[in-house]
Amino acid sequence: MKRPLLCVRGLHAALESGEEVLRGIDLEIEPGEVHVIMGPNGSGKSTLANTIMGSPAYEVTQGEIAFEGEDITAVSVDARAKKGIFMAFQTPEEIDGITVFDFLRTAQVAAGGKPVSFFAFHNQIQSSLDALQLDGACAQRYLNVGFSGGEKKKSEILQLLTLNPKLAILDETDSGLDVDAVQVVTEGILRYKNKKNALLIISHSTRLLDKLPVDKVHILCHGRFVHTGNRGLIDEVNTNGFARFAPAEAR
Amino acid sequence: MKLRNLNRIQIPTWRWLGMNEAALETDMPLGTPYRGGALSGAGSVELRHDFAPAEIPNLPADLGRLRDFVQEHQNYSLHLTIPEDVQCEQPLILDFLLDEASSVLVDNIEVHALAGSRADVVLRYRSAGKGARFHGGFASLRAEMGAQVRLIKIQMLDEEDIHLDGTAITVEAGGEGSALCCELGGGQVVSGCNVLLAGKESRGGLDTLYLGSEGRTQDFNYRLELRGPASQGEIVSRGALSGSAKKTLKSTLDFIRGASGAKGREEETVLALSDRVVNLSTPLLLCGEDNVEGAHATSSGKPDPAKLYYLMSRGFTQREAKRLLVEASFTSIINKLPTPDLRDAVRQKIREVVHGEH
Amino acid sequence: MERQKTQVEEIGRELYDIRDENRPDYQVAPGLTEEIVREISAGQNEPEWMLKLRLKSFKIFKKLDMPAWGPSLHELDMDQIVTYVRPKADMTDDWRKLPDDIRNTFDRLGIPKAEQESLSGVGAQYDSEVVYHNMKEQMREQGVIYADMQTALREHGDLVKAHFMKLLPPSDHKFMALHGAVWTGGSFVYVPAGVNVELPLQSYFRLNAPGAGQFEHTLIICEKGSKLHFIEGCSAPQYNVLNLHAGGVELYIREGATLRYSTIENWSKNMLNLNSKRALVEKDGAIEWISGTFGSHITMLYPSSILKGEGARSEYIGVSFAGKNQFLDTGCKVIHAAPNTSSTMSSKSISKAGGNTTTRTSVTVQPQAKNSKSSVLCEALMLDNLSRSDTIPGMDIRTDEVDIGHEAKIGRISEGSIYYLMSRGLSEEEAKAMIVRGFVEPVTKELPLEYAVEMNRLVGLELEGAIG
Repeated sequence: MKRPLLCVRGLHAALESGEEVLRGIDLEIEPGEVHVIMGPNGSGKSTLANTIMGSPAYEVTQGEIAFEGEDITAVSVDARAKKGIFMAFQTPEEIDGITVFDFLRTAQVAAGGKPVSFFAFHNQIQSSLDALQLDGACAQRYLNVGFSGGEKKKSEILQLLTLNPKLAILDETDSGLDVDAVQVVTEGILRYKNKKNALLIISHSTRLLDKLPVDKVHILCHGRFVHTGNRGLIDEVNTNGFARFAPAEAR
Repeated sequence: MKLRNLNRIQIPTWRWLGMNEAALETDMPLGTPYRGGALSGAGSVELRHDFAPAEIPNLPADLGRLRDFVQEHQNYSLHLTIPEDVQCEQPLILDFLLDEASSVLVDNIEVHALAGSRADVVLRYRSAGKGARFHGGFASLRAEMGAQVRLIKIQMLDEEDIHLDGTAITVEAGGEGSALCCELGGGQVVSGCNVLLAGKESRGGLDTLYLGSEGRTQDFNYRLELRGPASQGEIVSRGALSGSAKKTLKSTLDFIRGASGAKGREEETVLALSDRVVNLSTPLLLCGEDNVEGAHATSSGKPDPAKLYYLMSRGFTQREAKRLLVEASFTSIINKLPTPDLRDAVRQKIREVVHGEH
Repeated sequence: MERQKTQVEEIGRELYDIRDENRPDYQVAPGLTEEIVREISAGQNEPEWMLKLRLKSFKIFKKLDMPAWGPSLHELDMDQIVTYVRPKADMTDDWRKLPDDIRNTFDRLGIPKAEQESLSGVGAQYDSEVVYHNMKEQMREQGVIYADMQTALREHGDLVKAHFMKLLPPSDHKFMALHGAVWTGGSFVYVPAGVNVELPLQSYFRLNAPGAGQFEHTLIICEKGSKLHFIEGCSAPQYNVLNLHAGGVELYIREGATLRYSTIENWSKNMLNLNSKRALVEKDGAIEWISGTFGSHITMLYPSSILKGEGARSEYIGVSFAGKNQFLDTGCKVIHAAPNTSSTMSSKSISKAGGNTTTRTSVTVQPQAKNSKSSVLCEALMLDNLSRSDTIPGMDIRTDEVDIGHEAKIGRISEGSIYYLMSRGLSEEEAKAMIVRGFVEPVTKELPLEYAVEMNRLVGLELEGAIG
């Protein structure tokens, strides 16, 4: 039996203030799978994503996270990235003074790739740039500085395609995008997806999810998964909202 | 009497900029008594006219010397204690009038706001009749834990008057203490204010609004010391200068090592309404602690021609349009004044000064 | 949660610290007396008017007080400073003719290589004298003059006399007067009207003798419509005694000319660097100051621009990085003395391990400078709470028709940015180094590639190595 790529058991996480956000999460993602997480605002979706990524803003108070069989609960963010975990942020940081090109070239090496020459790298990312409908000039701009919402999301997908991680977590990648941009981003994601890697997508947008092969859908409410099902859930939530799943939590 | 080394800049810079310190000369008879000083809205506040001067921690030397000067020559003094948890609904207003009978006022005011209290204390200085007046004043405010107090100074003296003024505010943990100064008159103005955010999560700041007109000189020295961890404050000053007014504004944000998590902001906007103004600014940003956020922004120029045009296209004369833009830039500060009467009085004085309307 | 600190390695100094044994041909006694001034003058074979200027400057030096502002200069004891050290090397235009140790020093610093590959000309000064001076033939043909000051005094005496220390009067401050009394070395550049010098000219100043002072004088005249990029580099090995640098730079930019003056200063930590630089810009002319200050124990450096002609422009981009025991007080001064002039300043400073940076600026707008614009941005990055960073800007505006803006920011590297970069596999060190490199990027991007590389190395980042 295949070893799960990501295995989260009994995970509780809290903010710096001590306020608990995740209240016992169990999640297993096999290589090749696409999981979707949906939930009302404030349910903890971003927290879950960031906790898997290792953000210092949250503290794991209970439970564990394992990646490829190895316990990474206490492992630093960059070490997790080197192991093959990637996150496309909802609002990516603007890093002034470093071009997208230089950044990608450096990050690729940091992620365990071999250093390549300027020209070789230029060719390597050209096809990704084309696929995402980003022109070459974009690669010479400073990382995310002054990028529109859509450009920022595409820039994250460009990184995804360049770094080619084992597990990609997409935090509301489609929010704020117009129809064309969603199309382009979806194609980018499909370009990345293969039988060995996996996707964890936070979204409820059918525009994005319709075109992707979804294996499991989890509903997150008040820091817990209240239901897991197949892709049929996506349409149900989009039609009826989360009411069916919330009542137990309402006090 | 020549008073030197007033309003000293915290870190001296090139002498030729002429901003390191200010001086004043006066031959006013400093011993004369002051008859007046109406106080309204005192309510449950404790008042004392005789008191030993309170300790003011970290008081910059130049303000310390001003305080000594005021204590030596004072002809009015008042100590207000706002008792614990007392919320003063009405502002406490001290109205001073300088006229031919009382031409010199040297006032020494102390406000002590005990834990959890809330109040606005307003000091208003006005001038009437002919002749020159001298106003020298020092006010201190201590806001204890969780107290929220504002010290509001409204100066509406005449063109021949001297206004020499100092304010020192100390804010303890969780308290909020701020000053709001409207400097609308006086021929020679030297005014300094120091706000010390001493306690953890203390907040405070300084809002000033000033007008300079024909031949008047103004020297302002505003300082915000962020010492308590997670303290937060800002200095905002808005001014308009016309005629051959001369103004020097030093504003300092000083982040002290240990003030981890502190946030401070400084903002200055000056509208120049004539081509003979002398507009000097030195906004200092000093820092000894890495875990802070500090920023300042200064902009100077004349009212935006595009905006003037827009207003005139709606029927305002150029004069009215300028006045509207000046008032607009002061709006956020005027709106912080506690009563409609005070707001109207300030607006009226602005109109008089900016365009000689009566 | 434990507080994050920002750790960035200090600049690798090994390259600069290699000392040559001090075997001067000749040096004056330490201290400053009228005899020493006359001795220096005699050794320079210069015209009478220069000696007079030196003596006048010396008198002024004795009268003036030390500055009453800025970092304390109490460690400076003029009686201990040797103001003139002549190396055992006659000036040549052929690197091979230099003594081995001197040539090796410049080789290691990459100067001859840079000259071959990407410069129009080079002047190399070792202690108090220029030992190498050369310029591509093509420049000579265009009428460009690039000579060491001593030669310039002989061959272009009138031109030099008309301009020498007119922009930097000895009475301005004590170290200007000192400079006037004991200056030696430096370069004279003259670019005729309409000439565009495509590749930069570079002067490199190396101070090798311990306890000595370097007082070079650079005088540049750019005639109408000309264009030049001049690069100044300086370094010295680390000693326990104080070294002093009080150079002077005067730039005359005529109508429509553009001069870019780039400096990378990496003096050792025993150096007192009190340089004076001033530019006079005529109608539609432009001065661009690019400045990187990394070394020295104390630096006081404020390139100044006088915008004398209508439409004149001044741009200043500066970076300073202060580590332990360093007081870097830098900035820029601009005087708007004519209508439609514009100035921009962008200053970035970094402090770490107890370093002190002060950014000191002034913008003066005179009443006749109608329609002037000025925009100043000072950003300071604190890498720990042992250091200090102060911004002291001054503005003196005497007319209404202006658009003057000033902004300053201070803080540390944002944790959000570090997390973002770490999520892409960079270690915390690498992430912080990348952000600091990005912070100084506006300056590196204005420099020719070799200097940008040196500057990045000076910022102590390994990233370039990872890229390959």
